[in-house]
Amino acid sequence: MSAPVYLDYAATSPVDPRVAEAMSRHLTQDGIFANPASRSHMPGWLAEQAVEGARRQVADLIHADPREIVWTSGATEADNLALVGFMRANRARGRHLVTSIIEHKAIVDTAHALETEGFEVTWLTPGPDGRVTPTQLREALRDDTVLVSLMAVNNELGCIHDLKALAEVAHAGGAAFHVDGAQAAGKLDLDVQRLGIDLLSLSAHKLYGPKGIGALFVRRHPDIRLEALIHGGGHERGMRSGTLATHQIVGMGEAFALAQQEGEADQAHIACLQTRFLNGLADLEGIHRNTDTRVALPNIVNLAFDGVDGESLLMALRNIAISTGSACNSASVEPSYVLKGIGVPHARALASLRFSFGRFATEADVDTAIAELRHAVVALRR
Amino acid sequence: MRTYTFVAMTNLAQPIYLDHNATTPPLPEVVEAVCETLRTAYGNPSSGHRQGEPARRLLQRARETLQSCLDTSDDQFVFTGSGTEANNLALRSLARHGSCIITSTIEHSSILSSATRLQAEGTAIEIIAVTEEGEVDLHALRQQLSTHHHAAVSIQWINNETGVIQPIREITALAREYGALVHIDAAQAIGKIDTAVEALAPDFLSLTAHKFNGPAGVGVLYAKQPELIDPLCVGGGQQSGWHAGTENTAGIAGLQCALELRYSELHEAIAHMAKLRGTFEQTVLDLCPWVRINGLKDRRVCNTSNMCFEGIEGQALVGRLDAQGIYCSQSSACTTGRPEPSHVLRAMGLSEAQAYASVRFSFGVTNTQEEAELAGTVVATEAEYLKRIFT
Repeated sequence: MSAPVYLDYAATSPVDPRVAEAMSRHLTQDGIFANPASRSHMPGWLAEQAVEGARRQVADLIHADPREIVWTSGATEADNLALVGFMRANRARGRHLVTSIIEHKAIVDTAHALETEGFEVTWLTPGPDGRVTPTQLREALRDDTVLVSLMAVNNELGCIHDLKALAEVAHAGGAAFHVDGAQAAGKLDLDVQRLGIDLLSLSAHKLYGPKGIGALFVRRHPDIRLEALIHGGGHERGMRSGTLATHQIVGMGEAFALAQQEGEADQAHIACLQTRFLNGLADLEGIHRNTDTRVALPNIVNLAFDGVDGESLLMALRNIAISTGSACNSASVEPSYVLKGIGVPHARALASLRFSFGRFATEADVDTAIAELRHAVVALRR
Repeated sequence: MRTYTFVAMTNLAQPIYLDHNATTPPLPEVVEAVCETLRTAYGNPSSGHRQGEPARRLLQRARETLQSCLDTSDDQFVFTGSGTEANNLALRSLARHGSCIITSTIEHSSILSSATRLQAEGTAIEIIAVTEEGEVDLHALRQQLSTHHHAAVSIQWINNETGVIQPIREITALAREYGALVHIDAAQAIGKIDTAVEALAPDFLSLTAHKFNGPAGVGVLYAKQPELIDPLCVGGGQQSGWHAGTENTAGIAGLQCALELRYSELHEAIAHMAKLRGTFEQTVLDLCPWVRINGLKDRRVCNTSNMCFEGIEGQALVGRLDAQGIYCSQSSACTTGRPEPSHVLRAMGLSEAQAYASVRFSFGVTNTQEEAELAGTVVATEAEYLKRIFT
């Protein structure tokens, strides 16, 4: 049985061979394996240098200062650190957080945890296009609102928030602005200066880097204060203790540097694949796009199929790796809370699938997906 | 006294890495396991489709290896991003279920900082003293356990700076006698002593791959009753909700490989490191009889030598050794940003000057007998040189 066609790039992406190569050089004894916190010898300094080089590569992609990058074990930890760390550190100023109901689970669950700690959360419902509007945000702000957290790009829909306008509203209300950029980095210009982002969560494995590494951008001017979640040797300016995994960090740096060089080409390639995919299905009736294409990235296509059950369709598509919602929820058969959140009817939400394209997907992959999909939909409808 | 050969102040042909308690070089097989996973098993373990399968299998395999290497019937292992995070997770969980956390003065900074933080949040913390030889004071432990009902104990199996092996059997037995939960920080113990966990029956035990020639970035928390875990990160429900976030699959594959390699020849590895450490110490002490070993000499882990070069600046010695290509350190790498005297040595009663005069050498499986001999000679030569200058 050959490997299935992989169209689940929004769940995770294959590691770029150039990234893997850079990582392997930072693992071996004759390479750079030392503990970057070892300040007493040369191997330690070399590891530190590698870590700082990668910090600059990540910072460059988002137009930040390298000193504003805090390494984490992934975007989930970055989201937890941003929300919990910020709310606790700013408790004296206010206890109110504003977010939306279609954020990633790392935000939703963390915000719920904050509620049990005595913080208050306003849960905004986005429009059918998956977006919270600046007006909606303005109305939700209170005197004690200290933080607004909204994702740049939704992981199930691909819809893009108007970050600049939302940041302006948050700031005008005296709140800081956190953005979950896991799905957006490398696919969208995430210039933290231009957009006015104060905290930005990043992941390597959505951008052809390794799993187990991410980062949180923490603005220095004006100074954003966070309480650490993980305490210890005081690494990362006290915001996140623990020995840095040099090879992982180098991998993330390389992945982000590649995205800076090739991001536009990737997006063009993906847009072609998306068009090819949609054209290939154009004559099939009863297919709906759950995404408002005017405000979405081309890499995610979320489709609802009339007259079929999503799980059965997924089972029938054994040769295509896709998902019904975000991978983190795939153990459950509940309809996606994101689709529900934007008002997709229950039955249609259950009959929806997410296809996501990336750097290594080919036209042949897309053609296989079209053929399998057409066959399965027709068969299931019969 | 033997006359010693003077080694000229030039770089050695091959540098000698003697800082294995800070981190170890991943073995070639481990590097291959990591890279192979990066190349092939790229699916998300949470994905329902076939591409997620290799990643899921790899997590399961790592759990089985952990279970067999640690000799435990439970397979409740939570993968974290570091040993520090595993320690934080353990301490937080102890704070939730115990009336008080009892720990010691010589713990790793991840334990002591967490304890400070938990204390600020209202958890009672008792920090017990250690003997001059670096062992946890069992009388003090018993006293605290009898004072605080339903307390919890967190003790490091092996100290990272001195290598002193704590009387862990007695500690866990005492804790059980008083019905206290126990966490063992085993970061420095795994792969360096016989670590049969079942016999000790701790509630939690933490470890990290990069201390036994695995990759950095993967820690593990063993939990006898995982439902006691109070998660640090939420969202996504991975690892039964005890640790949210997509797993570091390549790192976990590396951890699995490193564990398997080490435990297939555990006794040989221990004997090898013990022999090198013995050669090294003998060489230094023969040439510099004024040097003292810090910590209980006959109950130290096989690879660690913490030496007090009374009268000289340890930092100067470390610097000169670095220039020659011998890599060692003064205290834990996690705290080297601050040039403070080691809190471990100070807790053992060393003066500030003695702590500053101390240097840690830690051997690994990749070191050779020649390296141990050469390093001993160079260290002694440099120490004598500095002694003449400083006195």
